[in-house]
Amino acid sequence: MVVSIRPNSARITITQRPTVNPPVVNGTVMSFTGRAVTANGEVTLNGAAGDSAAGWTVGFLQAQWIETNWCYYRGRLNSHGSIFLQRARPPARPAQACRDTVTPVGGIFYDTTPGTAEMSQGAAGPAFPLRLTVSHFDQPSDSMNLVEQNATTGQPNFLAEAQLEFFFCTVLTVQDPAGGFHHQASFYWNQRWQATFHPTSFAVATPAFNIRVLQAGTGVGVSHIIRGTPTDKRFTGVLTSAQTQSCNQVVGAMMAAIGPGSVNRHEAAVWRNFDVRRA
Amino acid sequence: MAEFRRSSSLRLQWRILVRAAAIGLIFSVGGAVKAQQSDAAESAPVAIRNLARPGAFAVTNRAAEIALSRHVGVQRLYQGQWVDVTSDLALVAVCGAPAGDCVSLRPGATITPVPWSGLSCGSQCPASCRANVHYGPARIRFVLSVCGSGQKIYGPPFELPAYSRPRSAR
Repeated sequence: MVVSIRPNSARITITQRPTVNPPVVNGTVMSFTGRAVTANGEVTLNGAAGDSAAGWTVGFLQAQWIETNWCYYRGRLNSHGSIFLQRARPPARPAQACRDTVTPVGGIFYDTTPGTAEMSQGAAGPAFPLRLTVSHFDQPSDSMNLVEQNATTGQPNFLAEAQLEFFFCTVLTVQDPAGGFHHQASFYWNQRWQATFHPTSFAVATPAFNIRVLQAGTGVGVSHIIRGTPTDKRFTGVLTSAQTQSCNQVVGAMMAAIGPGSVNRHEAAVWRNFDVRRA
Repeated sequence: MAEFRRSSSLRLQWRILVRAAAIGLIFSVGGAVKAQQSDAAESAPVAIRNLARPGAFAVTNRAAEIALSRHVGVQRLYQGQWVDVTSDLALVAVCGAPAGDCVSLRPGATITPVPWSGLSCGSQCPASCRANVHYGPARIRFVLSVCGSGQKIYGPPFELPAYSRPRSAR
């Protein structure tokens, strides 16, 4: 008998739903955080006495398939201008979908650190049926500068509004000894923040803000568990294919690409209302 | 009979001596390992001291001025081996302060970095993170690198507790 995946043995249990916290000032940035999402997964392998489970791996993959990420700044006076930073569109972010990994993206799985709970590997000579269990953890966050310098007016502009949305799909998968992936189950989840910021102090080094959370743009979502292979074309192309950057690296490059002169950075000499759909 | 008793007694004494020597050897070898570790830690130009809260630490320079890599390595003990884990831990005393690749420490100076949270990303200060894991529960140690020479300085291990669910909610 050859080792095989026991049909319908895959289980994912969400053990903690994510949350989002109201944005807070931390040093020179506005910080957007939330509670982690956590989940457990399990898959059972069938086999006979003498079979080897070596080379079989159960683990989590994760893709991010939507990123909304913009922020709007205003000077103290209308003549101090305004800035709109569109951080989630090309060229700063070339594509929406990316594979989300802690360790280098070539490892495919979310985390390949030895001893991680995100992966479980079979061994030679186990007792069958072999139940392999894994755990998943993610706690996304982001931040943005409180103050940006407007090159058009030469004046500091202060954070006035921001919207962040991160949408993910987490997949429980099995890799066979030949390297093939067999996706077993998945769930979608997201975190969203939107807020306006009204400076109460225009001290450039230590500005203070009244922060107003916009309810319609703030919250989380977690889907039910979906059995079988994901078919959503918005991200299936990045799940196990060759990728050059993880989502963390994509975001790192995005942050480095919104400085002065970037086409993702829109500056105006007055308090302009930018159209977030086009900018 | 007396001969037998004497020889028996001698054998007993010999056995005791051998055992004592063996135990002594074990202790002395263990001691030597500990002494080597202790010597290595004591001979390092910089001392890492864990503070009360897991992940909080202080770094003191006890030699001539030294430049340390801003990035601090994190290792987790797994199956008896120290394994590198992904982390953005850095020698930063204040979030948002201007940062270079190296941090200079004058003789006798101590830096107390922002404590490490146990996360792989945004582990001390606000950061842009999508994938982000917590390494607890685990035995952890920090690793400093001397700029230029690349010399590694290993901190004492500590126990990082499991991720605790925060009360914040929305």
